Amino acid sequence: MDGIHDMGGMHGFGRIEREENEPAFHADWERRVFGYANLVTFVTGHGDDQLRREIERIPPAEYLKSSYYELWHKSLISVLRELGALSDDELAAGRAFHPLPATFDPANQAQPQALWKAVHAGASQSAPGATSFGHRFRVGDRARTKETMPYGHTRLPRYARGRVCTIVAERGPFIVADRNSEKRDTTPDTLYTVEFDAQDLWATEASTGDTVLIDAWDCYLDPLDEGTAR
Amino acid sequence: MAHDHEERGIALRVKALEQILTEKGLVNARAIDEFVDIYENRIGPRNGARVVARAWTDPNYRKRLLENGAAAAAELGYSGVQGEHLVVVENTEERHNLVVCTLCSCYPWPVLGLPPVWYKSPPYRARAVREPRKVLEEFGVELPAHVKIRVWDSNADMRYMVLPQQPEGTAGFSEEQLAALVTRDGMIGTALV
Repeated sequence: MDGIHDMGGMHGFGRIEREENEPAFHADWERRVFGYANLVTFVTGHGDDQLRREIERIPPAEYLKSSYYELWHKSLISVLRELGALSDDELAAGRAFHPLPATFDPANQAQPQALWKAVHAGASQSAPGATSFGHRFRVGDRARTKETMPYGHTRLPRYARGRVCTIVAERGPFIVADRNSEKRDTTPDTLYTVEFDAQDLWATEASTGDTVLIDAWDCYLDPLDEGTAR
Repeated sequence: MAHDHEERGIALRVKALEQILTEKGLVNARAIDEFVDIYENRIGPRNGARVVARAWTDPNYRKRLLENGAAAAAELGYSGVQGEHLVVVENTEERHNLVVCTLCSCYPWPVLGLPPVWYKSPPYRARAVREPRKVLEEFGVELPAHVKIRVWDSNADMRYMVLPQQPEGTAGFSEEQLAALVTRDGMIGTALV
């Protein structure tokens, strides 16, 4: 969606503030959010695509004044509500009143001794066994990103829409964030890395020869002969 | 005072949610402690520094790293969450690489740990793709005009790490000596090594 989270190229945010010898966390509550937001997924099965969608729906003014782990906390509440795993009376009381959805198995709860291994195993959204997915482009092909303005979640940033790019790598079939986030549709599509001439994005403000790269699913792209040349 | 008040508010709300999630059997406190400890104390940019130092000293490893970053990092034991598809991009005399996530905070955890606040902040996310040379100047990096910049906006499943150029005068250094020179920002691309 065209939310405040989609910041690439925006003006007015000022200098980049850095902190010397920055700690990993600035308060204990940040540690707790980082922990539970990651670990509840062992039982609930939701993922980043759902959490990001809910972060993006936080109103812009609230988004900007919330700290990073506050956004995590708020988006987790939204996702758990949607899954039927959390309700307003529970939030108000700070106590659990209702059973978990029947599809959740608490036996999957993350246990400390299993975490080092789980962390190193990871959780890929690649779909190596998929046999049917879009694959219209090859490395070296030129394409144009779609001029899309979806209300729902997308990973195609605004600054990179409707622009000519070159395919520089094929990454294989991956679950598409947009449809997984909104519909839990895990049909994969080929993911490419595509490169834009920075001057095609930012006109003469950019230096000649500088480029910007994003990852783009096949469904984010049109062959260059479709649509008018920019 | 207003800030302290807000901090107390969020701390209480977090405590309440952890209580609910615990009563529901979704999490337990010991697992949270362990997970936090892993990312606060055991996984961080020293991992990436070892990868870089190995690449500087072993041409075959360097080749494998640039071909398949995730597999090469895993050779040293660095793999998993937020690095399942690690891509390592190489700085050269002609090319400088810079990594950002304009949409959120994507970052290669197995090799760099958790990102610093500035990496997740609106100014960096807004400006890195649009005016990378000005951003680099703020970080104290001035590139000659003939060095072209590639900005990698990690917006999907790939996670990017920069392989910096080996500093002059370090030929013959051991892998440990080299790793000690490599900084987190050097692997994001906001510093030279």
